[in-house]
Amino acid sequence: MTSFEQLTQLLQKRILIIDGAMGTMIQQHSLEESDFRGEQSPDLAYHSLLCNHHHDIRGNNDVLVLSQPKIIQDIHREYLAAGADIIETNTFSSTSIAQADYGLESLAYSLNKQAAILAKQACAEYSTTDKPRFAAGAIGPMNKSLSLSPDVNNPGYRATTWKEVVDSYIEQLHGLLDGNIDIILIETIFDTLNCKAAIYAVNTVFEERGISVPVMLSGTIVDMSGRTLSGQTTEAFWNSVKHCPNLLSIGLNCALGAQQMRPFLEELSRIATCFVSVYPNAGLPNEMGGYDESPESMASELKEFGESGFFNLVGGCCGTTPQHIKAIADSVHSIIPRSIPERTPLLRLAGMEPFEYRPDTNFVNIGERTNVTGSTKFAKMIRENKYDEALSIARQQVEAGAQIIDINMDEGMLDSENAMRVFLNLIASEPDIARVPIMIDSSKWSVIEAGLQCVQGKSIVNSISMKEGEEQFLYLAKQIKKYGAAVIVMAFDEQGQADTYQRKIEICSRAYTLLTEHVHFPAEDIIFDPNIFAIATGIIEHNNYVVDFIRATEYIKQNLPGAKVSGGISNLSFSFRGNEPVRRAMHTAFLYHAIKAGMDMGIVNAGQIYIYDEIPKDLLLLVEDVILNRNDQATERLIDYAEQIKLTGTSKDTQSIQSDLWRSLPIEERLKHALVKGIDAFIDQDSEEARITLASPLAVIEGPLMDGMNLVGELFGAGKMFLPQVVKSARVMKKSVAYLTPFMEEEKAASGLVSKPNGTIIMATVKGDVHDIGKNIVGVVLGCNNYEVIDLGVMVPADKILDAALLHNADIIGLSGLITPSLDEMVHVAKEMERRNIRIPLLIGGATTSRVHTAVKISPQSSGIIVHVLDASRAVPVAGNLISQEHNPSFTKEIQTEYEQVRKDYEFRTQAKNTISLEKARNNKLQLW
Amino acid sequence: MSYSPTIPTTFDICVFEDISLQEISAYIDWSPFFLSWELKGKYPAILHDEIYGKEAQQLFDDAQHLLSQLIESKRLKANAVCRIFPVNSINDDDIEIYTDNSRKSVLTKLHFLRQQNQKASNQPNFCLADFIAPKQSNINDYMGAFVVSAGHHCDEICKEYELAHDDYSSILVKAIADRLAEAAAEWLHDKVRKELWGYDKNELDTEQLIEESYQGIRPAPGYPACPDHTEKSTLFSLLQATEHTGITLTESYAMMPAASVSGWYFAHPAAKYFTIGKISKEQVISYAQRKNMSVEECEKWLGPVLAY
Repeated sequence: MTSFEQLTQLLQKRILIIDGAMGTMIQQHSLEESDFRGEQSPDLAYHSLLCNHHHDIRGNNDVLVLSQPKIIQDIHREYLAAGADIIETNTFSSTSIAQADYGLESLAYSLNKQAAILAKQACAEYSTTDKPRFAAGAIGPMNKSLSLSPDVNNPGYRATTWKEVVDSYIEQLHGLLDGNIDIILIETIFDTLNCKAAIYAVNTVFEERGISVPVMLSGTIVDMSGRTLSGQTTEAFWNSVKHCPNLLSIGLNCALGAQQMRPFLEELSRIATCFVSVYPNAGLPNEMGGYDESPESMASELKEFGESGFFNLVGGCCGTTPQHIKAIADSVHSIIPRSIPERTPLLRLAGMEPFEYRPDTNFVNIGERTNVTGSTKFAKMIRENKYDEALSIARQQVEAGAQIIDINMDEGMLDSENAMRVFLNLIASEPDIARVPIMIDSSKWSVIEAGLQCVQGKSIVNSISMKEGEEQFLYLAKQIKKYGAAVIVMAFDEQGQADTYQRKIEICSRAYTLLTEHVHFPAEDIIFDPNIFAIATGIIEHNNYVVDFIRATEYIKQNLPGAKVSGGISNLSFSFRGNEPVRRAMHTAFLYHAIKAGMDMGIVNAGQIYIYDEIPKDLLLLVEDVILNRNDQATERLIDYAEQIKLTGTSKDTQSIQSDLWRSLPIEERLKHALVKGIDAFIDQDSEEARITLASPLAVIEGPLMDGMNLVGELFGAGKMFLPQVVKSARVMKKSVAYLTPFMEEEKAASGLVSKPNGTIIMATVKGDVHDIGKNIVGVVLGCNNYEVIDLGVMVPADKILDAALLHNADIIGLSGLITPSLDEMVHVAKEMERRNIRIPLLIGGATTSRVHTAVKISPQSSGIIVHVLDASRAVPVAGNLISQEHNPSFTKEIQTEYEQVRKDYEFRTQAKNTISLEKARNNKLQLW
Repeated sequence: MSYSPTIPTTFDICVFEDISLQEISAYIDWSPFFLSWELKGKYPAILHDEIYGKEAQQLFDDAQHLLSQLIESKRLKANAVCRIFPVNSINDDDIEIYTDNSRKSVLTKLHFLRQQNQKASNQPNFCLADFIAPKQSNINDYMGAFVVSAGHHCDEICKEYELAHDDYSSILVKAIADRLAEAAAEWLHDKVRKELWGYDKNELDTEQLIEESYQGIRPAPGYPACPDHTEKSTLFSLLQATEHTGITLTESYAMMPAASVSGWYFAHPAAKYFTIGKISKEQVISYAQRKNMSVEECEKWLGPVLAY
């Protein structure tokens, strides 16, 4: 029986116990520099090397396996005696990269091997047939991140490379495996890309040694935002690492206490198709950085998790001791372990956020404009190193609804590998972009590989094919599997690109068999591109191209289970370049038919699509004749029509008819529709009808009106709705509430029911300033998100603002101003808040305000939290975070840390800012006379 | 250089009351209007923008509709005042304004700041006073001052909308009034170039006006080329602006109503907009001395441009 099978059998029977903190236990020994060097024990290995080492090593806990082996082994024994089934080797930082901090990188292999031997010996002492004990080789996250830049001014910079990280992990793995560990445990993963490098190293070592050992993964959610330090959600993290070979379990550890981990563990438990582990800290750190949660309290929380069926393995991280582990072991002793859920294998990708392609998912738009071969504008930016502008293209794509973005840097004049690396590293620090999965697009494997080494999420490789033969195809597929990506396979073989139905289905079927049977590539991660070629070119052989594509799509979806179909749409209409109406109609009609046949996704410019039903009927007929190859004159007729459009500007029939169908919807739906569309024409009569139907005015507000406004808020937050629409929606809301208010007064008198706002916000344009458009917009947006906004108007002195805040028991104060002297007045308001001991959050907004001014000049005036709000769309999430009991602490901390950094940067820049003397400046005046 | 300043047609104060909104609406630059609604893009391209196009068109239609209502109802009022003065620059960075073209007595002095950042070779350190002939050159030069507003009664109109629970229209009216004020400034500048000063009689279309492809500039106190708001008080008294237009200044030198614009006219063909950037304490001390203001007070008003 392999150790994987043995552990699986045990885990099906009972919950297994992992040990507690190593560092906490070592600390109790109060070791000095001489102890770390092991000066008292001359017969130990590396004694003279450590004693004569040029660098202090106190604090390098991992080196103790050489210098204080007894202390380490005794800690192992204490945990085994407390009931741990699995103990971790003392190797959290035993990589050459982490050891370099102490100048001990040359010892990395030995540290791992020795640590493994110590742990294995201890296990052997305690193992019985009923309760076998296992040594897990602990692999930490390293002190250098592949996804994060250590330099805020240079987000594209990385302190290390994929290759260095992989090599360092390979060395560590060899040490651990030579010491005979039973399990590999990659833990405290705060950067998924480092974890993926570790998984890649595991794969490589397994190949080299021809073995496989069970692997456990454990990620770290850093705060209540539910994300890893590199920004991924729990589900995105799972999607990105589930390709790990021989995966025994996935779990969470460190950073949070058990209580805070609950929602994220619950989520992981729901989605992970392997065992789940958890080993939290003993609560959150106290002011001194210590951990206080008692064994009993922690055990009772974890017991509840166990009873909820959240985990299969449990233990402790920072601050936990053998007493904690004993208490936990006792408390979960009789609990039935979590059973692994059955999940349909689906294409599950990830950026910072997960992307799941379900059978009911609509057609997936892949953004195409970050492609140097497709966009001359983008190509120019990359050639001229204008990466900021290039990023804005990527951002636009995501904002416009692209669910995946395709990135291609294939151009002769470019160092494509480098451009891919730079751009992907920059994207990693842009959460607005990096939330979606990346499609790494290149015809060169070296460029694809460079890309795969930069993305923490699960991406798609675009593309591979059998053009160079089977061997090369299989090699690349194996590599992609090892990197944990999905793949697009072009219908292309040794004979060339497939242009007929028969060739398309033959090549795709052959590729499918090779991938699923020889490489064991997950079928759901295979996407075929059966080639969309230009039609209506005047060449008769081309006329059936789309028909062949559509039939091939049908065939693939019916006969190659799990596989998806994708394609680049714009090729199709190549002959009509410059004639947008015709191109759009062709794309739209093509998609309509291809999606019906089962096409899942496509590289498409979302702006180049109509709604099918809105294509003018005369144009639609001609376009469909061409696409579906319905008659011989189709191409000629479409060309004639296209010429005509060019002459007259637009076709007659393009105006879409907005029908009043919505008026026949049920009343709740009608109100929602009116809100979302901002139509106030019927609002009084609809409010009346709703009030009678729902039997209470409050029910109208809390039901359809709030639902509608929530939807508006969501759409606005997602960038699918813009400010004017939101303000119009708010108008509808306000009018309806105004209509309902008299009835509510009656109801309130009768029943005491009142609607409670999310919070009260005082808003004002500061003393001396009269500009209020921005403030009013923010007020409206907050108002429609159910905040009570008390707007004091313009030219409001500080004392009036603060009096109002006290009077109304406000939760937040918002200040606005446009002219520069107002900045000073805002500083004054902050000072006054401090003096009067008013510590509610202060929001700063308006044209001349800035994050830098807020951080440097306003924030230091007050011990309360002060946040700069860039625009109206930011106001709602900021207010929400500040008011929420749950989110406030982490949000506040985040802002404080961010502003601290801004202040440091500012100081740095101010120092660097040189002015020339006034005399010199005057001597260099503009000489006109 | 061959440039010689044009003698203005008139040195009188010119007051314009109740200017036709119809006439000035032709001068509107709509791009900032969309920006105030967080729709980023240039008009008219934004109406066809892939992302914002549909919404921008809707907003524009609503604005046009309201604008024509405002024009028709004649409730919103636009006023303006301007004057051209005989001037010369002195001591590098200041400008003397004379009571009349005999240039014997000084009416007042204007004070400007100079860029102090390290420049590339042949790039000057600009100061607005550079665009005016120095006194010692013995060239008779001129500059102008103006204040316009299109915001009279704006607040009342907005209040009415707010009472009807219509914040959308209220905000729209304010945003339109802002645009009309800028348009009035453009309209007045056009009139000054062609008639009141008469140095540049070229006809320009709206797009050229928005691109500012005409001779001369009209920088505003408190903005990048002359960031000191306090100079607005000199500007207002030179024009007796409050008396002539009903526009007042707050203690922070904001103009009321909010939809107002003020500034200086410079006519030299080389005059251009620039940003002062950060200035040293040395310059602040010099500036304070010239303005007869304490260094501390100067620092308060110049806070955002201090390099220290």
